[in-house]
Amino acid sequence: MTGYIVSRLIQTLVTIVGISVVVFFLARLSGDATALLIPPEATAEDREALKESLGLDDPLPVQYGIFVKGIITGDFGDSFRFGEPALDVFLDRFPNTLKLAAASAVVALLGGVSVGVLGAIRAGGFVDRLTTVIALLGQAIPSFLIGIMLILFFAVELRWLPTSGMAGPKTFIMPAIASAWYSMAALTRMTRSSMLDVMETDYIRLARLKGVPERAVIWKHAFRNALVPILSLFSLQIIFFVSGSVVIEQIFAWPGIGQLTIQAIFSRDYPLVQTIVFVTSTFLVLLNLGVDLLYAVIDPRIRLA
Amino acid sequence: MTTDSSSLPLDKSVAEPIAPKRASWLHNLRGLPVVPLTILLIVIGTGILAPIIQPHNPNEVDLLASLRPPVGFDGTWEHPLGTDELGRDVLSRLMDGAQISLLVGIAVVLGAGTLGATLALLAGYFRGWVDILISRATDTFLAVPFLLVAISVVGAVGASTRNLILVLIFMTWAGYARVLRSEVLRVREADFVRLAKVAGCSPARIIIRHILPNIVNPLIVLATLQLSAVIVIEASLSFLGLGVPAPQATWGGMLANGKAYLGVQNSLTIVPGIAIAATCLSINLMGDWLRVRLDPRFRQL
Repeated sequence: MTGYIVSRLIQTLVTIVGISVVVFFLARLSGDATALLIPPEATAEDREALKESLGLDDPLPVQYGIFVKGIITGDFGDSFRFGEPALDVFLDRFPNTLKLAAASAVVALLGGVSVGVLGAIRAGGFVDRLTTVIALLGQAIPSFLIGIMLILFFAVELRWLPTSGMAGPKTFIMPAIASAWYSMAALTRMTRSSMLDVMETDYIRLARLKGVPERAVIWKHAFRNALVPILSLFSLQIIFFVSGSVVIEQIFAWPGIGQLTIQAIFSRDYPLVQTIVFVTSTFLVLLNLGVDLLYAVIDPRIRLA
Repeated sequence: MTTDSSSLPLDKSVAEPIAPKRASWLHNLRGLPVVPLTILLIVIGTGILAPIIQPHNPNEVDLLASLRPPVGFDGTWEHPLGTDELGRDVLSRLMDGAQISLLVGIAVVLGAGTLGATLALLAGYFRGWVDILISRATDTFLAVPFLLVAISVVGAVGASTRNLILVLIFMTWAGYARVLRSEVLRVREADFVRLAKVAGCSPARIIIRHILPNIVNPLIVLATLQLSAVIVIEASLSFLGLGVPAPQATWGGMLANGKAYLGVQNSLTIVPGIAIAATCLSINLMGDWLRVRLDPRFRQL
């Protein structure tokens, strides 16, 4: 157990260092970092001052050391566009993205599991064929396309839902479905196959022979055992909800970090871009670590392997 | 178990050496998904032949003929799929979009597949610190929020088709490395690899002549599924304005333009939407078929 935790911790640390290297080079990729770090209307003196304050004449390892020191002390520099610390701007918007991610996670899990279970208990039937179609479409139709189609039908044609923005529960519906789309299809597929595997086992046959009602066989006996692979797939999908927010938030004008990233990139607000990419990635990596450690506690097969 | 699965097909081919070649070739095409293949051939054909068969110049602006509907929705055959807000012919732009999607998709899959397979071969064969280094890098790339990092890198290096391809190769090789490394680990324990070692083959020869042919099947299946994923990513990035720069027509870019005209001219979003969905669905169905054909574990199903 200790060995597993230590190796996972080291792996996480390596990943975070890797992310910091990518983020560090982001602003230096185009050659002249000042061209990216400063708005085009800045004066030559501003440029020189920035170059000196960033230590751009130092060798790269020294620059990287300064960058890491900034990260550790929580100082990511000021956003050019907002004129406040980039971390504050980020933290201001991050809860909105998390709210949407949570809503998508609920939609994906409920939708995927219910359709998958229905497909599995009537294998080969109409619902089952629907399951296969949903799983295929989920992989083939990008979520932003689903988002636009939802807007077209439910907002523009039927006028049931608001097209964009974040105000009240109604505005969550379409972005959450669009963002959940891909994961829901994957979960549907996984639930179906996992349930089918479990339904074949002896203990399900035994439960049926004992005369356990079918409903109880499915939910109490089969579903509980089918849940492990479903949940491990689900934990992998969390990353998609946050990462996919870049596109979904742009479509639905959702005031989260996805939209903020796009705005920051187009306004060349690099301290902000660096902050968003680094903090979000680190957050997700730590989340994954937490999920993995939780699994090791729950499932002895993992920590003993 | 590993020795079993590697020696089984060998025994079989020794036992049945006189199977007629032609019949087995036809047999291989069993269950070929005809509709997806047809759709793909149309997309590939229009993509390659775009400059010849385009009814109009895809970037020709004609403001007097803007926002025309497609045929069947009060449109004329002059513009079969209508025109966009600048009066550019949607069908011609769709063909250009097919070309770009295929170009980016195939280039990225080739690049990332080659890089990922090479690293997987090195990591899986040499083990030790090479393996640790490559595997940790793979983990890092698989752990980061892909789209977020991709758009910031594209934003930093500037949007162009070449940069887009390079960034996507840089961001997608890890998936190949992860899957293929475990395949290499399986194959390197097989008897024929040990025999090759005993016979004095160099590591390079063992990797290229003995291990690589045995991981080609999973590589092909993976590449097919990745192709549709890359096309979707390219469309997403172009939709955000961080993919292939305008005025070059792309499916994602057409969707982004069309979104502003929802409720005015819906065909501007529906047409490129159908193109993306149909193409990716067809590629996935072909990939599923290939997986069943190429993966021995599925063959008897």
